[in-house]
Amino acid sequence: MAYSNKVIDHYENPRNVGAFEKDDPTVATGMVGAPACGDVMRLQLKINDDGVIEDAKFKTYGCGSAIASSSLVTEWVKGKSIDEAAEIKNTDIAQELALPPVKIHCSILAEDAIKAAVADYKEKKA
Amino acid sequence: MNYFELFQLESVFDIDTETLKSNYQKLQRLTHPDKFANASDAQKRIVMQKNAQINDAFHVLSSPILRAEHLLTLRNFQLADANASMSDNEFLMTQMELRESMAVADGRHDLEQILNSIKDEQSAIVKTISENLVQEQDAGNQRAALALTKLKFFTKIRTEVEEKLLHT
Repeated sequence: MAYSNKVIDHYENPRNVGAFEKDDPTVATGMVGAPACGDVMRLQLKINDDGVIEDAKFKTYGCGSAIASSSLVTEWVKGKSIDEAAEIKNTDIAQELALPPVKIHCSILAEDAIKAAVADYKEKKA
Repeated sequence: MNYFELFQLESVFDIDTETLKSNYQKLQRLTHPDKFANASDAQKRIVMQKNAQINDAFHVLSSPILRAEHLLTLRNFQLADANASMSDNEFLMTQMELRESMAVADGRHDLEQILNSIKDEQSAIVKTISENLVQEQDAGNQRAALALTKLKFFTKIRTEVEEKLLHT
């Protein structure tokens, strides 16, 4: 299956790979997995006192589309408020990366990772 | 269609695989196309469909994952969408660690160790599924479905480890 140039670019030069100290109170972590393909995705957001995402990191074990989706998301969320980030839709990701229908679930996984990180942030705040 | 009944098996998770195999071979012989060389086209078509169904059923019942899903479906249990994601943090963390250990594995010995630990996990999960499916009750069905999700991750990673072992 042919990957789009954008997927290949993110796959070959993934942005923001890595992890923050998970005990850091300003870090929210979202972990999601896809049983059907065995992909595991971890998205971490570093959030300042104003609720703005200052930095993001990810680690994904999965196919090129899953890696590209999460890499793209780390670029998109930076500078956004938590609520703005939560509005990112899988369709936006799929469109930007020109994902074929069989790879749409990778973008859904990335959207779910953002949601999981946002939920973690709200839980930590509460 | 109840695949268990097709092979005259009880609708349970712990089936007798020998009976499955022998009944499968019997049905295969009965529906072999050669036997119907002189039959009408309509008859041939029916036999061919039956033969394909027998193969599908055997494939499903031979796989612990597919067998459990089939049993749950027969119990009218709503299985999660195949593409749905899961977010059991603790479990996903161990999956990630397993992937990391795979990435840094150095040589056959490391990979074989990882493979063995995956096999152990798989056996333990299959046992959980089996125990929870003995009786038809919702709590058990749900626990079995969750265990199935985990089994899928291990099945996937096992294929990758075995693939890697082939080239190491």
